[in-house]
Amino acid sequence: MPSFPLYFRIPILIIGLLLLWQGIHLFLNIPPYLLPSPYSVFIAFKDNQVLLWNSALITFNETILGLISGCGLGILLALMMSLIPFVRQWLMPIILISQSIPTFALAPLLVLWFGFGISSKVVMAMIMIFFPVTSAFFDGLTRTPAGWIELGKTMNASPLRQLLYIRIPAALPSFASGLRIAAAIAPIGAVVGEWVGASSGLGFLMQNANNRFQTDLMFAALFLLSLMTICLWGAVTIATTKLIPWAEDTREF
Amino acid sequence: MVDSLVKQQKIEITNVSHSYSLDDHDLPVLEEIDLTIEPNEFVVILGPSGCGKSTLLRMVAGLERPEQGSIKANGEEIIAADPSRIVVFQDPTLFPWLTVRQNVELGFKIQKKKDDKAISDMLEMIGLAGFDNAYPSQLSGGMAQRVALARALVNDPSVLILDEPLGKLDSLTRITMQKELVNLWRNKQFTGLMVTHDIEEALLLATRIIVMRQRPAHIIGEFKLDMDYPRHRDSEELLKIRREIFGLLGHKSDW
Repeated sequence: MPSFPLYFRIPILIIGLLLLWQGIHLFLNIPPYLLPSPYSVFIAFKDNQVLLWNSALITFNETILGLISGCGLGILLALMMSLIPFVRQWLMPIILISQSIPTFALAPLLVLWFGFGISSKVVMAMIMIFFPVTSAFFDGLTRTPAGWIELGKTMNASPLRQLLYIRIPAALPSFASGLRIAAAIAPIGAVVGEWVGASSGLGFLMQNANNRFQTDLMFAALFLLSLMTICLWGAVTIATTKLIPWAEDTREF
Repeated sequence: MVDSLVKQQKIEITNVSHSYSLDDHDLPVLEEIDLTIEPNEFVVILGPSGCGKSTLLRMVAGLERPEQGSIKANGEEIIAADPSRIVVFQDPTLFPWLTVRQNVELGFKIQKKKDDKAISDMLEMIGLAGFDNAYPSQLSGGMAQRVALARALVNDPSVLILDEPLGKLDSLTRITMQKELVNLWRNKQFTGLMVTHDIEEALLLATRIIVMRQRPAHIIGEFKLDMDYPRHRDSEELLKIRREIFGLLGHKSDW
């Protein structure tokens, strides 16, 4: 089998899936409020362009703010846990317990605490994001190859300098994996927050459209959301591979 | 801190025994080792792989403490690692995120020193001039090990501890590096303490060879070599010592 490059496979896949979808729609004659045809989704997109892009922009802002604050919190927790045994022993269980609570269940509470505005969504995204970042970065910080640590010791490196010059750089490839996961789930956090209580954003738009049986508009919003997620993930992946070239990546897409 | 500035170090290993605890029993690795290393000697410990030689080196470096006995540098017990005693391992353990130059400079950075000339001189001396900005992933095994040596030597250690540093190199690179090690040792005035399982290597480099037998490791023989450098592999004197060492290790001399 010849192997095709990614930029060739993706358009083929998308066009193929759209044709299949349109075909099923034509043959089975499904009512549009159950499953709209790709064509009607396109029309809905065209007719509601301004609304859709504005909503997407709001969700995008929430996602980015959530990503930044979630990463900040994740990095801080991982550093503290790796430097201070006391923090590691007492914080780890708390973090684990916090992850056992379904985030969706927290959403109404967050809206109650932080209001209908952007902050409850940012907090929601942050709560979803910090865990993969903390977990991956902390893993990386604790798994520094012994030879590097010993080298630092023979050079009289204090724990802080060991962290700065050896353990943090050594943990960056792990951090990058955590960050990529975070980028992929960050929009979910924002949308879940919007779903429960908001006056704008893609989640809000989707919920409204759903309630009014505007399934085509709902699909258009969904399409924008997944486009945003893919772009975000792609940007983070490109940035991390550029900044951390020594984390050799041998995956084939 | 003053200690690390003292250039000469006399290492005294007295009655050192050590064992590792496995699941259900203790595995003795070192037994009653007595060894004194005078400043500027090049002592090579020779013995089969996995006989506890590396453990002994790690103790001299201050990375491990012996269960029994004492290891002293200039009369003071070695309790921690120190820049005056630097180890070069079998793997170069370079930092992949740093260039060759930055790798060599790391010791200075950690100790907040700056001396660009010392770094350049060291790179030149060890045959790495022009590779300043290369990354470890772009280097061959021999080059990488050279960087590791430069990184150790630039800190001007009084004892350079070499744990089979050439063990993973191909035999031709190995011969070149052996010559270079001798030259470095003669130029830089450090004490060499090296572990190897290669008799040739020991014969070419050492001023004294300590032969060890395994499990638990103990010293079974000692040879003083006062021939000049560079030495020839097939000189009569070396061949004679070589036969004796083979005999000690249980191989027939006509092998």
